[in-house]
Amino acid sequence: MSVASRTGQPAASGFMSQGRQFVGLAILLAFLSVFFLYPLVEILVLSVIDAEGSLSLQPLYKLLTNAGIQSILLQTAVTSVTVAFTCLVIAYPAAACLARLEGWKATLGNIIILFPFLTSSLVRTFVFIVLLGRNGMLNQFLVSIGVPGAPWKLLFNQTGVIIGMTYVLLPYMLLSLVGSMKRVDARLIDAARSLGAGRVTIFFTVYLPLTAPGVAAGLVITTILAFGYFVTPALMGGPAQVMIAQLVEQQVVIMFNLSQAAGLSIIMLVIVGVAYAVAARWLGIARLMRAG
Amino acid sequence: MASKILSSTTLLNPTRRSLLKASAIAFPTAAILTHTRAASAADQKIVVRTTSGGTYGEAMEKAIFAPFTEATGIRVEKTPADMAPLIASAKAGRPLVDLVDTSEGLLQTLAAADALATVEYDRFKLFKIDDIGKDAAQEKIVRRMVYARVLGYRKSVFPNGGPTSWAEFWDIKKFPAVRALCGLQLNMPDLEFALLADGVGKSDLYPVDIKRALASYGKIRADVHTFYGTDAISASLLSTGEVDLEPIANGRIQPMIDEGGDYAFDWNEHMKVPSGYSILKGAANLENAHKFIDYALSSEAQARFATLIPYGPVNKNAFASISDDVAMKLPTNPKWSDKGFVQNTAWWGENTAAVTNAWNEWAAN
Amino acid sequence: MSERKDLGRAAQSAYLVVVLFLLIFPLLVLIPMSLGSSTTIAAIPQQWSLRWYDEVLGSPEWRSAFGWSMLTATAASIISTSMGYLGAAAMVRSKSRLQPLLQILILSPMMVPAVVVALATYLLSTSLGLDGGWVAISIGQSLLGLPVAALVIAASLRGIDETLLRAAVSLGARDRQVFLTVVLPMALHGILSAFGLSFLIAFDEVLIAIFLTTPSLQTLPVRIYQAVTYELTPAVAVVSVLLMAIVCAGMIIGGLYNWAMKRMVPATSQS
Repeated sequence: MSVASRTGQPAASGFMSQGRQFVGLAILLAFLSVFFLYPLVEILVLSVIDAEGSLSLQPLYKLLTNAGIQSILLQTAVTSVTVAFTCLVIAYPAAACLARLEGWKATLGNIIILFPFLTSSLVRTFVFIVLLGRNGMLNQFLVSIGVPGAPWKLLFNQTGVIIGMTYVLLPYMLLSLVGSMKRVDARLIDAARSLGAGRVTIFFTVYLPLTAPGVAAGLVITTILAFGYFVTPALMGGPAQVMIAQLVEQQVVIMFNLSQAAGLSIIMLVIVGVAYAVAARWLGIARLMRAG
Repeated sequence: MASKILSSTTLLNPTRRSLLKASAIAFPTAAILTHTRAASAADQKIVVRTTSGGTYGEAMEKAIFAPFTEATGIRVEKTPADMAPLIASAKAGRPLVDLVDTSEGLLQTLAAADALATVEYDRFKLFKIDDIGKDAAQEKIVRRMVYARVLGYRKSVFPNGGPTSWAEFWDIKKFPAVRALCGLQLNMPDLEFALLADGVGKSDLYPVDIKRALASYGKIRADVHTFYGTDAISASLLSTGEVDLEPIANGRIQPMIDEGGDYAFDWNEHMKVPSGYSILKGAANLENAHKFIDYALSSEAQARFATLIPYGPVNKNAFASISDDVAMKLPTNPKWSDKGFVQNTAWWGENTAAVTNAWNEWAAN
Repeated sequence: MSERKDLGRAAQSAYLVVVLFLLIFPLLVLIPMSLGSSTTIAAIPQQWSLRWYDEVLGSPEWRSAFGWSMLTATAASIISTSMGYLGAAAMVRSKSRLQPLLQILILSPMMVPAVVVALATYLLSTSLGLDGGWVAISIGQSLLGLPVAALVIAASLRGIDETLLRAAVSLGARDRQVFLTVVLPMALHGILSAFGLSFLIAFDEVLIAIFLTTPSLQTLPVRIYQAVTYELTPAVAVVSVLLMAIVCAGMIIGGLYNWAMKRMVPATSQS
């Protein structure tokens, strides 16, 4: 591997001439501007136009002060963060083990993690509905071994949503963690051990900080993804678990109210943007990007 | 209501959209042409907007489209177009289809957008307005069938008989069971049932007091296992035993009973959800469209359709040629037709947004 | 000391196996689900039958949904990969101070919630008069795949040893030759991975397709969504099992290709 990749510095130019590179970049920027940035601007514009067609912050204000929408936003934020941390706790030990594997075991592990990506998340969610129901496989098992409180209510409530979303997002967290765990230099661990550190100390002072970029990137990715989810909460949640993306879909597909949808989108963008800014500040942008 | 819908989509340009939509329809992905040998008469045809797939599409084809073409020689072209392009094309004077076959709720949207032609009832020879009733014979919509939302349950849970009214459904003590109610997703919640449970009479349901209905929902909210969002899930909730008791479309629970499942439902206080036909303004094959409606509403066609799928015919003469065991499944059977009421699709068309907002607020608490 | 370590390791491995099993289990359940005979779904059906396989394979709606998905996903991944390459090249080589900004820009579609990207694409398609056709859907889906493609290709480009490039230039190769004969072959693995990943992202994508769908243009995820919401029959499980089988076949072919390549070309660098 070249020195370039190990230190994260960009490799020297030589792929193409300056002119060519410029053209390539220009094409990309043009593409993004026309097909992505411009519609986002349209959304922004739509969200600040009131009923008469003049520019005003009124519609956004109305949305933000609507009690129903406020609680839905809160619900979405709380659920997203909960799901992200649940993913982290579940994935961390597994990823550490996975990062150590080599050869066919590593390949097998990677395949199994990637496999869920290949099925529609929609289908995976409704399989859960069958498995987690009152008479579903899990509850039948719990009842048969006499677990107290069984059958548990695992569907149509917050628990169901968290289980469903954790399941769908776990692979993202695993991949992010494994990526940074693989880069941990084993010699650093050896050095710490030879200096007399115990296992717990090594974990907290060496391993964990070294994997922090992966943890951070994983948390950020899963939180943001969870924030925009609508399929899982729609199928596995109750009416109190409605998340903001469901509202946006409602507005577009059922009510044809694009300005409301736009307003909600802008609010979402702002929240997500702030979250990113905070994360980037706290962890450093470069580490965030590199860890991905 | 529809005008409000259209005005909020100010980015849409009708003319370009209709042109592009017309060319999109030309792509043969879902439009199916039915041919018939009998058509020696020139290219007589009618273009219908309908659902081609599933049990409904099959029943329509077997009971109505195919026999119609045989009897009249008129070819039927089916297409699954959306409401928006239908409206746009009708307004532009070149409607994409002649006839629209869909729920009355959607037809109301078309009517409000001024996209429908007036139906000329004196052209019909195979049935009379009396046969189908004044409510069915509307100015721009001809109701042709209803399905019903009924109180369905698993028989094993109620050995002494299940609830026979919505008030009894709401009675947790008398009928302890795991319940589901319809929430808001692809469906709208059954506010009417909530009102009936609260003591409102059938004839006083509309305009619906949304607050009162949601308060009534709130009374048993803690005991409701789930508020399902779609009809398909409602059927699967019963079949997997996830819930014991819920409102459900008769067309969903009937096949489950026919397959031998241990389910039952009550016709009392059922809600009829109507579907109908309308003709788009400026339809190219106006006469054929009327001929089609004439044929489809005749008692034989109505009876044939009802035999294939448990939707209630509106032509009361149809019951003469329907066997008893089929008639047992139909909402418009004179034996219990009066026990139910017809959903006011016009009210729902105007108030979808209000209900959605009220529901979102109620749900979050 | 090493015994404790071994126990610890064993416990961790066991934990990993459990986690991986739980990830796969719901997918495996789809197989018996798809073989049920009744119209309602059950994890372990009471009666077995192939009827739903017959229905799905013989159904024009499922076939056309599959066809539309293939079309939009292919178009989307071509766009993602090519745009992703341009972005990756810029990210990797640029030394200007604007580079972090460029990175953020390229990754931005991934950072924006999917529903907002869907809404953006919807607005785009109406104002361009595209009206929800497959072109609009492809563009929207390519936006979702672009950041991933860029990241993967960038990782692969960074792995290219600078000295090889300098050697080629010093041997008299012109920029274009350097690109075609040195860069491209070595980045090929990354480019193919990027294509594969963005294809999967586009293929599975639901929201953009829902917003832009019309009854005559439904992608497979939309059709599945409709099936789950309108007619919840084992047909949905059948479609998923068939898709998983196709992907498995693809993975096996890809794996065999990799294995064969490794045998034939012993000493080149790996991306």
